Amino acid sequence: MSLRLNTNYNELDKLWEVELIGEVDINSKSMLKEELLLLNEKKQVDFVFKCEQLEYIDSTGLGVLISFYKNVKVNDKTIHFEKLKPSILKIFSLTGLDKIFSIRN
Amino acid sequence: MKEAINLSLPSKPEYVSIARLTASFIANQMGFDVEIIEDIKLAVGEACNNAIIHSGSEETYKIEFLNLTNELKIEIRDHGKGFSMDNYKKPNADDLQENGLGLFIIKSLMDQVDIESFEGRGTKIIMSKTIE
Repeated sequence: MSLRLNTNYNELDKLWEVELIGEVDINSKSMLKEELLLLNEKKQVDFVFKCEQLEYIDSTGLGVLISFYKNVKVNDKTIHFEKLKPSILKIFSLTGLDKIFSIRN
Repeated sequence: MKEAINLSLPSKPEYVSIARLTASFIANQMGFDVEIIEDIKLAVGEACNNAIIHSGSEETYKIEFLNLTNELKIEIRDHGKGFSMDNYKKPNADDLQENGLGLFIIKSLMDQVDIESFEGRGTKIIMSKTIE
């Protein structure tokens, strides 16, 4: 399994919706990073990551999200996570990311 | 009982999932519960990432899974550049960096973790988890 992304610009709420499907790991992180930077170039708005089908994330994947968060913060924007699986939420708590990112379950 | 499963993988990101799948398969067969299987899978993934990132020019790294009936012991060994544990800093939530979370995650998830790394001679991570 690898990573699939569904991206959509939500006109109403003025934000990017990014659905993460599969695994964010050392193998898929570069693709994710490129895609996110591309979206952030098109429109500087908030990002919502939909994680219902996110099965796995490792430290290299978290690294991409941390560095991307620094990118959107420059424009005074933020990123949100929705519907994290318990196993993924555990890693966010373990690494303290639950205090930095807004997580809605 | 003591059974060993050995893997030798190319030091490339696209093969890490083989190690992760093997880890969850073995942990599942041994009877670990679902949440612990996820922990073991992630710890193995992180150790493999580490081997790849520090592999230098080496082409492969090795993983051994030891099934000790009520304990799973995993050894990940590379012959890369190695790193100095003196430079290892525990991650700080107020100032999170892109790197350095991997070892922290391994240490948090496994029961016992030993890391031997010598600059120029590679790294060995030995970790274990006991069935409760």
